[in-house]
Amino acid sequence: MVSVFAASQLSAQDKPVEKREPGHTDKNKFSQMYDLLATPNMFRTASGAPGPAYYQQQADYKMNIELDDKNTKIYGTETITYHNNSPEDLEYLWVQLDQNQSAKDSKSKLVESQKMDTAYKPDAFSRRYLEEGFAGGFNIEYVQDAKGKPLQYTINQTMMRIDLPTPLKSKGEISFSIKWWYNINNYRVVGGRSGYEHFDKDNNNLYVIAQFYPRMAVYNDVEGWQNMQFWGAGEFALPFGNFDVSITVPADHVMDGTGELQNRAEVLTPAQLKRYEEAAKSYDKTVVIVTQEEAEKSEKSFSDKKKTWRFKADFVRDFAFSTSRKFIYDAMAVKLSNKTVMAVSLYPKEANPLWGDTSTKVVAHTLKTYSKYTFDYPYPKAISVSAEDQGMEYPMICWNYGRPDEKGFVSDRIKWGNMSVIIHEVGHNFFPMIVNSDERQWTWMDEGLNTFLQYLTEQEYDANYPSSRGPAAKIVPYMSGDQKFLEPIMTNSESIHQFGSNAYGKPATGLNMLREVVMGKELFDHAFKTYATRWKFKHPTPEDFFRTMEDASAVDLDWFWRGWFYTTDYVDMGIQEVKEYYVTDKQPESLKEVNIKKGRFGQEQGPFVYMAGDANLKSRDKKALDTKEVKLLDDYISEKFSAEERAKLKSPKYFYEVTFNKPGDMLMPIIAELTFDDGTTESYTFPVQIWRKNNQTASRVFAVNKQVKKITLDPKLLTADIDTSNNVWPASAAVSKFDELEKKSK
Amino acid sequence: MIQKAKYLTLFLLVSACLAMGVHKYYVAVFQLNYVPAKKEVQMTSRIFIDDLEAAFVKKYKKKFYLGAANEVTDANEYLKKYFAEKVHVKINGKEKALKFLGKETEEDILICYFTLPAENGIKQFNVSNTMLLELYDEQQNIIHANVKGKKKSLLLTNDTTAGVLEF
Repeated sequence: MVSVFAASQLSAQDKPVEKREPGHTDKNKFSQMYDLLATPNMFRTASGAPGPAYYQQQADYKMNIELDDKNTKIYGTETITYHNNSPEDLEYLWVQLDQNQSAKDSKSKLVESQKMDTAYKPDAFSRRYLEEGFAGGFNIEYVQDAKGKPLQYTINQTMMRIDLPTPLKSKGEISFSIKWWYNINNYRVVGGRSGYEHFDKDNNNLYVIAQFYPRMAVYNDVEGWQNMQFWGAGEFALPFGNFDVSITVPADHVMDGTGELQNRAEVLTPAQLKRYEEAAKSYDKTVVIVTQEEAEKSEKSFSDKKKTWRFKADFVRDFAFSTSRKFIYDAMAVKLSNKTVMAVSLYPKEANPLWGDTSTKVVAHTLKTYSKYTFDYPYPKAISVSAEDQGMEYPMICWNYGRPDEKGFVSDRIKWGNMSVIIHEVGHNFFPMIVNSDERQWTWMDEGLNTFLQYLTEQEYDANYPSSRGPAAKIVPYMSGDQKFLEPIMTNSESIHQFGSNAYGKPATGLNMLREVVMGKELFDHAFKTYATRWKFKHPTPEDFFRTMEDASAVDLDWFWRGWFYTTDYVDMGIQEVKEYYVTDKQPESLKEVNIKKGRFGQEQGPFVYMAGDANLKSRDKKALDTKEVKLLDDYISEKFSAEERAKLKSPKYFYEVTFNKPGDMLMPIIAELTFDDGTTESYTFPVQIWRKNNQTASRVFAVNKQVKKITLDPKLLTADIDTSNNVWPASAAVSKFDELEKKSK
Repeated sequence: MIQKAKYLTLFLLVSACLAMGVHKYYVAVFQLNYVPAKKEVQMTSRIFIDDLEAAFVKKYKKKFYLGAANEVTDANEYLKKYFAEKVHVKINGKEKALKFLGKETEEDILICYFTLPAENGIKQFNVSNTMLLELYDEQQNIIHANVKGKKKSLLLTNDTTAGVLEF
């Protein structure tokens, strides 16, 4: 196509460049991401959806577990039926042994830099230098095939390779069994993501048991076997499967876990069973099933008898449970768009009254809100367990910190912190339990997406909720930090310096900015829901997310993914210059050379209406436009328009040219607010594409009815601009927190 | 898993008292901005309230409920005292006193505002900062300075409690 020049005004000829710059590749920040994204294929399409050849493996588990409370040991035998749905035959299988991370010979302890501490408490010194150390890690008693014949295996730290006598054929399945046991860790003393908490006063343990059985690794089209070691930060990659689990504990324990309880009548008293049935129909009212009084009685009983709890769960990626004599147990039915699920809480008396008042209500609110933005919660229940110092998620069950202090005082920080951790961990049911991304590789895919929905859920719970992540301004201290300690979000989980900001805060903020500033809520919400629905019960990659968000919205986001996810670029935009112009038909001296193009080759002849800048005019000529006073314009208007048409014409009086610049490299739309002399304001948003030809500066002309007193860039702090000192014109109009405080102190 | 705070400590697995599921990190951030028009340096500190509260309880043997509705009435006086002990800033070689202007909370963080006189501009900051080091071995204090658009940072820990920034 031949381009046609629009009539444009030129005031000076471009000077020829004396020395030519060398050539360059496409460095534009809008450059499409062919250099960074994996090539689409039959497994994963260019639209971001699962392709026609998409497959995933399945691992079904049948397990018998016994927990020895007196000796804090756990024993298990499990039979895994592994379905090879891949198009390849497999010579060996990889099984994850997470508990080995806390084994005595664990290499996790050897990869951390150490320094000499200057002071120790005696118990810490003893643990570090005198004691043998906690004897954690799996003890594998056997690995055998379906006929009881031993299978050969090799353990490499937290991974176990099982060598198959004959390859497992594509579309085939294999069953094998593992018998194991390990010492359970007191996580408040020796660390760990699960384990038990000991209560000195009544000598009871509260167990939160997870990553407790040998688990199948993921095999897929992206990684082959995902058998990267568990070093501690990168969580899990797990295939889906069906679980049938029996757990034997002391008879006076109360327990809940992943899946539906199969023998409720055997493990609850008739009164408790009746209360459970009431809870199943309660809708919006929490029903206490095991009361505090009952829990306090159990606390003292230390029964020698045993009880077995049986759970079944379909299509989950993992199994976890929590058990204690101390548990109070409450529940509430939650109505979703076309099903009812249960919100459940387990907590010791020390957690009351905080937990009894809020936990189950918050679980219910979380399920409803997340379901609205993704899909109806597909599992039958979601449990929140009170475990001090914890915040960790598993399918249908999670551990959450936050209890009143010993005097019963609940600070605002504990109150909100407890609610936030419950929303966050229950929210993880959606990402990554159901939208099953690979956490070992990409922490942000579940933590970032989940923290984003956590923010929406918090704000819908209470409009004044003090959310610590989500709002753009909250990420500024991180984004403005030393580049030495920053990595792109697209960095492996183990190599990140500032985990919370990098993998939680920054991606969540990015999504929130996409929603509020770049795409708009409607387009964003549809695309996000499309991603969640497409990858529900599947294994997505970052590309699948990036591509779906564009595919479902028709918003080109390559510039955003490139800047916010693949680099440490930060947003810093500013107002470089503001020029005022006055309309006149008297040709100013400085505009003698002006000419206007006509069509492609011609030139317009005057007379012209001139836009005279400040420097070109005497002060008496600097006045608001009144078309009646500019004869040339006035004549044109009276000749061209009827009185009726004239009444409809706009009447701009003041003219400004504003130049925006970008000390930071990250692109963002320009949000500019003009404040007029009467105190009123008007907001303008220019799409990010305003930077598409020049990534550094952009200018806009404003023709307005009232005189502009102040221009503010991003007045509501929606773009994570790390330096707002250049965001206000004139510079003197900026009022800092310090000015405010100084004024107050005078 | 939830991340309560911002920085990954390098000593994650060494510290026995650390609950890994929560990943509690011990970091405070100090921002020093030179304001030529006022001939002063404006300093903002961002410290986790529970860390500061724990340090105060240890040092002054009472609860302060910092930033909460029931904060003790003389909390600001203790804050001034604590900062004067912990944070020392020399400008061009001369020690300058911190003037406490006020404080506010932002979720779990206490933000304090200070000014320091800087009549002769900034050639060099010499910052000594032992904030919370008596409480946590893993404490990191990060100092960001901005002098006329030039930005420099320091990372102070139990190993290195002071550093110099040249402008």
